[in-house]
Amino acid sequence: MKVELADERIAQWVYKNAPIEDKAHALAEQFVQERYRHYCSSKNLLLSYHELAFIAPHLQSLNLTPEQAVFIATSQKKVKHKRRSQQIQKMSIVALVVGLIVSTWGFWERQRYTNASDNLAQAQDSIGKIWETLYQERSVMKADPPPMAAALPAFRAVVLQGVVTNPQGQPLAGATVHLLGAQVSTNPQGFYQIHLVFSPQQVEPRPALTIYKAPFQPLTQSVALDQDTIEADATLLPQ
Amino acid sequence: MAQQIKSPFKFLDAYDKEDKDIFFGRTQETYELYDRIQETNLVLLYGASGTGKTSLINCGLGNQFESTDWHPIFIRRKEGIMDAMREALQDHAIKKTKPKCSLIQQVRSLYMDYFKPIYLIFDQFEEIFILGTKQEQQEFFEAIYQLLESDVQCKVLISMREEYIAHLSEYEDIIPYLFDNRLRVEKMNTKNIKDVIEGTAEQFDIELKNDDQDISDLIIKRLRDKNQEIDLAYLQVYLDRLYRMDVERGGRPGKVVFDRDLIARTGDLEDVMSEFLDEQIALLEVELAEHYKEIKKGVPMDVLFELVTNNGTKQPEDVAALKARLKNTKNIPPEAVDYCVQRFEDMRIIRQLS
Repeated sequence: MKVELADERIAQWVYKNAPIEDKAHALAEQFVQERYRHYCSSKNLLLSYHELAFIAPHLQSLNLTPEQAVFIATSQKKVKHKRRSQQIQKMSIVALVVGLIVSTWGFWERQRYTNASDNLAQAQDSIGKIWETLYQERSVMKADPPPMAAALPAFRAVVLQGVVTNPQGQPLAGATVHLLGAQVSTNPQGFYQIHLVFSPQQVEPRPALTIYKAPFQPLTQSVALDQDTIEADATLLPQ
Repeated sequence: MAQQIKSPFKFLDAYDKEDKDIFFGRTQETYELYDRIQETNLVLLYGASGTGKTSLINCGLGNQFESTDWHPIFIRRKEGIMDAMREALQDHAIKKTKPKCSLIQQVRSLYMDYFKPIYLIFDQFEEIFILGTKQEQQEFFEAIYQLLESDVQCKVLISMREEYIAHLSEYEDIIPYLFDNRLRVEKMNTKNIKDVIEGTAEQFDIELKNDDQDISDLIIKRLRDKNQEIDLAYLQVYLDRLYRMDVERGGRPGKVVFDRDLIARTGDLEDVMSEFLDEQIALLEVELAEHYKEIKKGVPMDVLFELVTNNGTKQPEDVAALKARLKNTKNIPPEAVDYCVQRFEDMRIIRQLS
């Protein structure tokens, strides 16, 4: 036996005065029914995450057919699977970005290593050629070729060091010491040290050592490079 | 169960063919509808809710025809319009047709059974737009078009609420003359409402005690809404209320009298229907509490809510399904639901769907 309200105004009144939870429940139920109808017609429109969230508070008390219950369970399963896939996807993206950064850094480092190796190889070639030239020159002079160690002293290592002070004898930190293109700064004790390797052909006998630090007057003095270790202390005068 | 005084008014029920003696105020519309349906095969009747469209068809139009002139078949959508139509045609058929018979064949067979033009009357047609699917609507209009274009002696009358009439325009492609013969049922004017009050009072032997002021004018004044219109359903509810109040006050035995005093006692009516429903639901709550000790409050509203769509329109429901749903969702005992349904029927708030 079917029954209905006697008049539309009663329906309006009932709807207006019904508790809001009942209305929400009825809406959720209608929503599921409509979406299930769509699903049946297209076979692929399952409920989304937000749609499942909308019906979630009413899920226990919804009047569902077994097919509708399966429809919701399938949707839940798919949403769960999708969310897991999304998480994996996000993690993959993060891993990819990290990998990209690491590999770029690795590539850059490798390039540096390769360049350094090339430079070293070139330097060794140059040394070899110089050694060969010297060897040939000496061969002309002497019948027997000199040992390699004998040729090498032509290159001289020199250490230039000293302390830079002000007129009161206090050490000056951060003063710039410049010699033949090499440049160092003094440490807090005013000490500096420059290591130089010279080819005998290239060395000036008394190159200019320049020391400067604001607000002192720059100091330029020639240094005799006649020993392996040269002490060159300096005192900067105020401007 | 509390003794319910039942008035003779139609209350919220539509007028039937047998109610012609108490059907007032729609003479003009009745003639117009009769003329339209004579002239054409498809008529669209529309109007606001409660303007009496169903009564106009059942009682007004029904009494214009001789029983030999027409064979009306009233169709309500129920679960689906096509099934409902086939079921109604099968119910009327003397010679039952095969289930796979086309609609045209079914109607033709029915015509051969009675030798009278078949009138398919679709009442509350808006249900197809509220509860139906697009596919159902499409199927229906295509079937009706084929029927109207065939040589079968059949006419179609569609009656619906005017709020939903725009939905029809979508199907003008299928039936190009869908809107050609339409008739709008307006709300009743004051004169006609006065005819309704005085005519029904006379029929039911109710005395309208007009002292210094006309009682029907007083009733009309009280029932006017902010648009100065009167809802026929509210009029019926109000007359029913006056009737019950007079019986309760026990004035003159065997005679019901509507007078100024009685109208004054109804108080300021904000909303006749609302007050009536509040009153009836409060009464039913008390009765339920007496019958079912453990029952919680709000059961009558829960029952009524099951009969409403999410658009706030009515929807038919099977009582067995209703009981199962309320047991499942609200743990309401089925006996309590049965009790509510029975009492709401007595109160004329719900009715059985034929």
